[in-house]
Amino acid sequence: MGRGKPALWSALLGLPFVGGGAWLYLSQQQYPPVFGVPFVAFGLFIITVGAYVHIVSPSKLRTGEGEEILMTRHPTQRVATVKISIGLPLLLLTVILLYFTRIPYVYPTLTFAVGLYTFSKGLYVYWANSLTTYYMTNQRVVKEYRFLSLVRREVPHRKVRGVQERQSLIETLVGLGNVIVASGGGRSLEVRMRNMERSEEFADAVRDLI
Amino acid sequence: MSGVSRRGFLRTAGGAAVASTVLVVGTGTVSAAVTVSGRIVAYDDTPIANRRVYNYGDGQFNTYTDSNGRFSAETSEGARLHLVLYDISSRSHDFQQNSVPLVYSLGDFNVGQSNTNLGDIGVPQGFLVDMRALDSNGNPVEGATPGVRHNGSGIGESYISTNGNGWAQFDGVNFRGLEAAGRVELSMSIPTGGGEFSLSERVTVDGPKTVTFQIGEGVTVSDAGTSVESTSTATQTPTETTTATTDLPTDTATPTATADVPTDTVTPSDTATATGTDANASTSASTQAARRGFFGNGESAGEFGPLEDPFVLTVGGFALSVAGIAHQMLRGH
Repeated sequence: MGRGKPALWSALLGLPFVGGGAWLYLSQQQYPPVFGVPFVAFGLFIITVGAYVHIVSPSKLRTGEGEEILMTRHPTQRVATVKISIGLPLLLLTVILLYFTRIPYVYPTLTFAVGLYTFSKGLYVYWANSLTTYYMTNQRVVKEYRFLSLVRREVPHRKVRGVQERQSLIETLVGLGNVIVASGGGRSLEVRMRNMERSEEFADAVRDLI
Repeated sequence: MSGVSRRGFLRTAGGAAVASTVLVVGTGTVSAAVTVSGRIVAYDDTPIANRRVYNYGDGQFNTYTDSNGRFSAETSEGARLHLVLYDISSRSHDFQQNSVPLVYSLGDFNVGQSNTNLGDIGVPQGFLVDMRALDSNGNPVEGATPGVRHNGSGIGESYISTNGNGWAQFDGVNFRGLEAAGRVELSMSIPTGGGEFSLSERVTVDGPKTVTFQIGEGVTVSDAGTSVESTSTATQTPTETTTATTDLPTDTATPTATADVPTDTVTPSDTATATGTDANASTSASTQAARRGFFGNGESAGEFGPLEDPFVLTVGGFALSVAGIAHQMLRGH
């Protein structure tokens, strides 16, 4: 799953839901056709948001006088890939348990809850990462996120009081890390950069500038 | 431990965990097929021939008894079966008055690790249940849909409806009503101008019954005394009407077969194939599965309302997912 093609990947992820919904609506007799509607709607939601994310790519950072961009980073999509890869089989298992067996509903409900949460989280991480860019200039560290509106968080180098590195379990497995640049003024004055490849290198570069 | 070696360790451990899980799940789900067999006998020890036996438990199957009442089917070893007898012929839906209940849950049975003979499974005598649909003014309603369930398993609605006098009657037969045994749930969906009005009542069928479903009045159950053989247009008036809330006797129709038959009662010579075996066939339109519940199927079903509706579960899950994603995306990291 590569950055820069969210429309394509979202379409690939959404089409199975659309196809499954169409099958439920048109080609089976066991359940009322209306059962296909939520699947089609969810698939179209994925495709539509993916196309939108594809269009709304972040613009280049506007720099001030004498400001120079030293490093530009994007979050890597490996965490999203892992979550989606875990969620999709669970959702497939849910469809089988819910619609093709008669085991009590508690079992498909459990797989549905875990699978849909993991899959949705993966989708969100994928889209959010596609819309996020990290910059380090010679004056500040900036995180820029644009979905409907632009959200830009920045900490000037002169205010940086600490640099923290963290790795979740999944990030450890896929070789990514988080870098948190804090100004010492609480959480509102920190920039948290997630799913970053070679995060140590970025953190060291920030430390060198303060 | 360096970052690279730690990562390598975690990758190896994670891979091993995933492989172990796949192996365990695979081992647990792939089990060998064994043959389960048995014989269905009526209350008078005569074999019940050419009738449908459906397994709603593990390794579902659908088969028919042969002329000696024997059935056999393949299922997975160690499976727990839930067998239901439908008084429906293997050749056609020729509903008969034969003192065999139209639908009867035979109970749960454990299959051993090899071919398993369940022995003789008894079915109690079925009695005619005459069902009638009336509107709020006491007028008969034609086209209402009766239903009967025993221990959660029921007969479908495709072949029975009420006639011009409001009496339930299968298509193409010359008698009214249906046969049932034991404690059953009887229901009637009565069409109204804008939809349907449904009534249901649990009744112990220990003799011929007449059950009247009336909009606004509820359900009345009476002992019919004698079965009704004709489809005359004369109105049959219950002789001893009791209200639906009357305490009815407990289930007096007990199957002679005992549930949870010991496993591994293997008699290899007794695995003759029943005629018309149709293992793993899908449910026909004329039968309904044991009612599916949240924590269990059968009579416990229906206690968790919307959680037992796959449409509600699907819509609710997707709606929560979309709302969660939209909220996070709008809020940003």
